[in-house]
Amino acid sequence: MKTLKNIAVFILTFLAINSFSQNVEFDKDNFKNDKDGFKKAMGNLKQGDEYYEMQSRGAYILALDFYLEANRFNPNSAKLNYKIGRCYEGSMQKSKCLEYFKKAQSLGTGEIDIKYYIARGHHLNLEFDEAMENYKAYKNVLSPKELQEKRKNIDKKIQECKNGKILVQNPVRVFIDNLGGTVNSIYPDYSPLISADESMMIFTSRRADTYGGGSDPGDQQYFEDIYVTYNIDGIWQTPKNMGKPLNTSNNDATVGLSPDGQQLFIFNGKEGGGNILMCELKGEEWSKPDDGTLKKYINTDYHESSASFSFDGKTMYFVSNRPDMSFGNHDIYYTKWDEEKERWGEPVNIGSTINTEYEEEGVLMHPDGRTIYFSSQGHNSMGGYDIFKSEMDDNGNWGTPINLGYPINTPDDDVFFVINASGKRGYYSSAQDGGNGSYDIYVITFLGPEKPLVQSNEDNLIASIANPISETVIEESVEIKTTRLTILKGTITDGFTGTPIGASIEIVDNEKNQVISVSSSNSSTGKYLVSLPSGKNYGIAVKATDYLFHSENFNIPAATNYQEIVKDIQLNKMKIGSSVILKNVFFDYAKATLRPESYPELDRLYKLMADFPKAKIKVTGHTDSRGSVTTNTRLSNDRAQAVVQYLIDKGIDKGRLQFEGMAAQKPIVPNAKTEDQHQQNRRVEFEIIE
Amino acid sequence: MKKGLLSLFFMALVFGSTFAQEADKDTTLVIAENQDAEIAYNRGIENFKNKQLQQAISDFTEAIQHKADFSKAYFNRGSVYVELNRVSEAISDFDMAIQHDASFGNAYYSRGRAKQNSNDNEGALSDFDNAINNGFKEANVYYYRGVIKFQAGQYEDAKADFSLAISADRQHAYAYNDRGSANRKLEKYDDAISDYKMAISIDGKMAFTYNNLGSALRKKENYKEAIDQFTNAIKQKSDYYMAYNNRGSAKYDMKDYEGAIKDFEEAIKIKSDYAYAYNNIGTAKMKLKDYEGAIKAFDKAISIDSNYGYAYMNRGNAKEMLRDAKGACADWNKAAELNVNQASSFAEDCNF
Repeated sequence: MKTLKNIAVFILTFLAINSFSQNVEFDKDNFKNDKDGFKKAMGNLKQGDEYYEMQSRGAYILALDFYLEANRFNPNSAKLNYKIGRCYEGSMQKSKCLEYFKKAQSLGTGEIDIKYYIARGHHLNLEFDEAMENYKAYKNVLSPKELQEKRKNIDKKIQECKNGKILVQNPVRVFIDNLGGTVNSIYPDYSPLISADESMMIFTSRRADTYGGGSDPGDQQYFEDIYVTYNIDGIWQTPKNMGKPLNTSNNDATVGLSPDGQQLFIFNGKEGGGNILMCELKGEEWSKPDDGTLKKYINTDYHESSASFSFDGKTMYFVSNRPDMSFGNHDIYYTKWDEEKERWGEPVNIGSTINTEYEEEGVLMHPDGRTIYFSSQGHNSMGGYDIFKSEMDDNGNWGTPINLGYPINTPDDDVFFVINASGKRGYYSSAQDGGNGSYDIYVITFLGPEKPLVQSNEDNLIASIANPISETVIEESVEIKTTRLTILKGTITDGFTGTPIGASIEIVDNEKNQVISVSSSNSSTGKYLVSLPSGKNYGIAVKATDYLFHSENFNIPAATNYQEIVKDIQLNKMKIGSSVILKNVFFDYAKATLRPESYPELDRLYKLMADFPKAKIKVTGHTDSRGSVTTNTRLSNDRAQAVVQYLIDKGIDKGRLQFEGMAAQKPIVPNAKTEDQHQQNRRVEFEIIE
Repeated sequence: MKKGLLSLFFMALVFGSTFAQEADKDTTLVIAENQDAEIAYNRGIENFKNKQLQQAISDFTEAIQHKADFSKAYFNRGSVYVELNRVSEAISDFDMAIQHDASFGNAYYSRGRAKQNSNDNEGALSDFDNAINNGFKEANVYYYRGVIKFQAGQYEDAKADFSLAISADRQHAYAYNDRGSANRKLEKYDDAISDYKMAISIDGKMAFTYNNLGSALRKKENYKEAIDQFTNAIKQKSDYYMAYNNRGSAKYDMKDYEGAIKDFEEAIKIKSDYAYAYNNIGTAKMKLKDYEGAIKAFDKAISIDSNYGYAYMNRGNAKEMLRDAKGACADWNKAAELNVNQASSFAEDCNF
């Protein structure tokens, strides 16, 4: 489907080109049906040709009126289209030439330079690539001789296109505004000059109230006259013809104004190949223009066309095409005022930094004293004259001229430009579409480099601010030294009656052989409680009046945490048959040697024997059931004897003491199996026997 | 007497009051040290862990009553105050902790953090130095010191601290992020990008790091990747208006003014009073030569923030393009008043 559509487009295009390319000559045979129209068209062609042959800008403009009329009758004449193109190209609305040259080419014009003019048309329309392509193509159709003659010009045009591409890509920021119908007329208005304070503008116009009312026979337009307008509160007032003596019945044009607006240069084309005249404002009257002070050096037989004063009026810059010291064509010169001779001195070429082998024109010295504005076809012009500026450095050397840029400059001629003291506003004339007619005066407002737009952005550069992290850290818990304590508690009662006994409880650190504390049980309940901190071997002796003491041993390792041991203790009265297990009597392993930890217990037994001097006891030794009976009998006997011997050594009468080794005959826990049970069975007891 | 009290405590605990009288007689037997303070302190920690903050404060207070020089108890109570955002009480407690233990590194650090959070950066800096000098070498102490230096514009010093934090903790994503930001301030964009990428490799959920990475890439004029990173930031945080605003600017950089405006508008959908986004819409409209639309956007930005200097300047630029020289000059002068230096140079032309 798409392919079909493409084919259709192609066919239509082909047909269009085919019909477009049919050349229709202005031949009566071609217009048999409209003889009157043909006749009229031929008349227009003839009149147009008369002007066309004159080859001046004014004539081209006049020719156009007739040619366009003829073209309306027959738009398909290759020859006429070519001529219309040439008229546009050679006059004011130059960019319009392209469509006519293109049409002439499509109609098969035989003009050999059509490619050149098509290139020109593209060039003037800022279509630089197409322009360069056609300039190059034109070179290829030229004979070697023609090429030799024209190469330099064509190559310069190609270079202008290259310059133009760069300048158009980087336009300067300006507003270009038509000064409006108050100032501009339907006639050409141009060459504006302003005083430095921009309060006055003097310009040239070819309007109907020209002095004397005459017209230039060359272009049938009114003679040039000089006009003035004043700026009141930012508004330019209606211009006035400056009248005599400035204006005459011939062409009178402005070329320069002093910064204070008191001295005016005007151009007089009639004298000496074109000379500059000067006049001064005296009161409200302008003096008669003359060249008294300009004679000899300034005005010559050559063409002097533009002049500008320095800010102090002591230097004058002007344009001349004199051959002396020239770099080619019109150059810019300067001359200093000779106080003694009261005339301008010998001119000096401003130099090759400014002047080129091409044309320079339209010089303006800025009131700042160091910036010169001028037009040139050289440097990096994009075509025709471009306006440049150059600044003088502290050593008096001119800087490389800077192209004022697009859209101030165009591929057409841009010349006679003035700028105000601040450099923010300039004036020039241009023939733009939408103007009041032909040349109009425009004001250029310089906006300066593009004013940056500032965007606002923000980031979260600091993580802990973007996303704060709570990091409350507390110190760790301390080790609580938990009480490593054994609570020993129970009831102390009479072993026979069960009556509670208020007994004393003596805690002995067996290792140190020291009594740690003595407490007592409640006499009415028999209840007791003792605290035994871990890490010791405790001997506990419970004693009560008239009772045999009771002995307990607790070994509480250091790592033992809190524990409660309930130990109900029954005390036995001192009577025959009562016995006490001496739980705090210790021997070396498998020996009958008493260990020192046993002494507190043995001392209690000694005290008992001393307190009851008539009492007799029998100490018996017991082993567990492990080991041989012989060994056990001997060991138990020896251990019982060791206890007896301790008492004897303490002074107890031997006759009150008996002993016997019982081996394992009387176990507390029969058939003992556990180590604990075996330990309970290993013991030394005593019994009251008398 | 205190030993007696503790003994009493145990007795009562174990046997009830019946035996108190008897127990009293056993005082000499009880040798456990006094640990009321420690017990209260540990209970405080348990309560803190269980978020019973008021109870924790009571416990630490009790610990301090039992043991007036219990620096850890002061410290912990201070930390609970921090949690409760009672900063001045926290700082007082940290003061006490340090008074009783002049080498209490963590207390210096925590006091530094509390001061930092109450904008006393100078005090915080001194505390962080003291913490480090007293052996507290956690990554965060370097990190937060770095943050203060960063905020003071001492980017090289900040960077050094962030590096120390990273040495102490290779997985410190924040330190990588912030070092990236310091590098960015030092215009070392490649290093910044590398740091942000490290931070993301450690923690891929940090929306702000993707955003920062995007902005660093923008500085490198790598707009396409910048846009990708802003998009990642938005994926992590769908209401991240800053990232929308930044992505809009990256699109603006790529001359996609329509796309930029869409992103700025997204930012405004999230934050309706986001003056930056309005201003940025204005700049994009300027580029589209819609000067009147631009002025409306700048108007809005200024209505939100009447001291928004750049918005005045931009609006002046828009008015200039509409030949409203008076309006432009008024805006430039206003912007200049608000310390936008560029605008004062524009305003210089207003006299001609």
